[in-house]
Amino acid sequence: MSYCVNCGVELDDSAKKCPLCSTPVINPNAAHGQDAPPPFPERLDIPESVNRRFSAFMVSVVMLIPNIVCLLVNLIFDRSHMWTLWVNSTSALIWAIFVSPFLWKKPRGWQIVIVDAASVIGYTYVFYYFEKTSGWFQYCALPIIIIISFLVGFIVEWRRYFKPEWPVMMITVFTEIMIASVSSELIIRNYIYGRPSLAVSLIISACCLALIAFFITVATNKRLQQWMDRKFFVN
Amino acid sequence: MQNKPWFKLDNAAKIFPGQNTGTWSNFFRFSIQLKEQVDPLLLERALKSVLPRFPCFDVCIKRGMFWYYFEKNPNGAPDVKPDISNPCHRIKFGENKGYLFRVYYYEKKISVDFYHALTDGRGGSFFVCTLAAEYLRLKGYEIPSGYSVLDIEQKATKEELEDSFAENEGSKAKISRKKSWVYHAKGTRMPRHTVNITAGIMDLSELKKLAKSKNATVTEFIESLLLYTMYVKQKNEEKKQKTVSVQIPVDLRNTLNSKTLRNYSLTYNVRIDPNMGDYTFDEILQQVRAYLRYINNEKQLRAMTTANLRLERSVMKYLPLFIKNLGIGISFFITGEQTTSVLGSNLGLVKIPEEMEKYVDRMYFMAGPGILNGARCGAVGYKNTFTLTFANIYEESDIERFFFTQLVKMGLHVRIESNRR
Repeated sequence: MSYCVNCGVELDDSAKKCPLCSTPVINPNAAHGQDAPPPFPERLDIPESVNRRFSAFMVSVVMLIPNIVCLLVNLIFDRSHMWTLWVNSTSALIWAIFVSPFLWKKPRGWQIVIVDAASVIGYTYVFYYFEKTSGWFQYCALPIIIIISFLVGFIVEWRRYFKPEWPVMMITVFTEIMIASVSSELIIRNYIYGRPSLAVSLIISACCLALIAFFITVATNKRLQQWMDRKFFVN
Repeated sequence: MQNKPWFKLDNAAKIFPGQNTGTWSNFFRFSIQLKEQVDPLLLERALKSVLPRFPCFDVCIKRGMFWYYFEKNPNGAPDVKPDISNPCHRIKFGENKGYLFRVYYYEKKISVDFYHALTDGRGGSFFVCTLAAEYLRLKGYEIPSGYSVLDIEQKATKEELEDSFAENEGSKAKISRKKSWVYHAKGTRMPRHTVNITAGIMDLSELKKLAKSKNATVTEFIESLLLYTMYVKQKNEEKKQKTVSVQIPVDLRNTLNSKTLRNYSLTYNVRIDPNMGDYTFDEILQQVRAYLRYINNEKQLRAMTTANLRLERSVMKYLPLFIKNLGIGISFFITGEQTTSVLGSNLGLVKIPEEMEKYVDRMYFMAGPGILNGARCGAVGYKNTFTLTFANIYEESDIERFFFTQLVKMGLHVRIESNRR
């Protein structure tokens, strides 16, 4: 009969260390772990896991079937207008966003963002392919998608690594909204009027700046934070 | 088309299949430790003899259009297997010959893992005690029926097979099912499908004396200590304090006079808000005791039963099963373990015939591992032994250590058994 010198509990005769604190069992009067069977078996029975990649593969196959049917119908009966591209590109976008992450073993946030951005770019290009009006895709849509994807990717990874407190998180989110709105408007106005200028995004930025100032105050002022906890507690 | 015997899942059981994930199912384990080595061949024979006495366990689960249902299992009996270190792992309805319970043996111990849709802790204890009694009979001992050992020569009665939730509803009171999210212990997750088990064995009379010295029952004392453990853990690891709560299952059989072998329990949530100030153990005990004594009564239990049944009988019943499953899964994600920090299930005293007591050393009751609840705790009393088992999904043992060392500090002798190596 041995006791843990640290926890004060009695240990079973097979114990080589205390299960509660890992302190080794040293009892010169009782040879432990020799004859006594452990209280629980060592055998593990690990059930088969659901194969996420296989499930994703099956979903992909199911999604592929109507797309192939549409493509064939379009090619055989009506070659004048490639309407199937709308169906195929929409399916591809849905697949890339909702199914493709399950095909990877351990997808990282930035990897998913890159795939999603690429699929949105591809989807937008399909529209451009049918419209083909004065290069809006390369001068307008492409840079905006890249900037927004970069901002989303940044916040996903930054949150993952630094685990910021909620006021800091809010400051970052509003800063990113500000950057996204300003850059989008500059790009759009430059494309339409031939020179970059700001209008609506100034209003958005002013609101964001006010909120950023508020959350900076919350992040730095303990009393205000306590007051908010008191006033807005949910649990 | 063959006309097979079938019956509906009880009110509590209906939610469990919807909660299943690829890595988790709601399970619990009841074990009996005998005084001699278990012979697996005899145990298999005993299982085959006992199973017809429990028609509600001799089933497989099938999908209907709107609900799952149980059907008589044509496969005889599940295999008796050598015990494993990771009990209560997830279920697949096609595995284990379609049975929803698994029978294991290890050294002197007979263990049965029950899928919660089948029964609750008390129903499980009847099955395992009857199985152990039949096993001992096959060994040549004279074991009569009585208490938790059912007579296998008799047929199951209507009362034993009834859905007691439906039988005992009828409250006009409307009680809210709304609960808020609470603190959950943090730690390093164990690999999938594995769990750390730590059982603490103590003297029941000593524990009763200790609880009585604080003017509490054993359940009140144990639940308070669990709540205190989680409260202290949060204090040590979090800046912002959330509400801490303990989920306490209540066996309705005694209060609402039922003999069912199927599910018939409900849960109370007792919570404390650390933002109200620092708590001592005695203050938490006072709060738990006051709450349980105020709320644990027939009227409240009947109202809770009716509230659960009302949900089942709402327009929801017309939804196809796959939509219900989706809804239950989402609802469980939002309101399931999110609303409890720890589970403390005290089965109470399990009695067996005196002639059988000579051959039974102790009993164990273990709640299956949780998804968010770091440790879930099951307890059972047998003769003068109280066994409390933690199933922990984290590698760290700080919850168990704090809990048991508190008992040691209060003067209890605690013996620890664990699957940690």
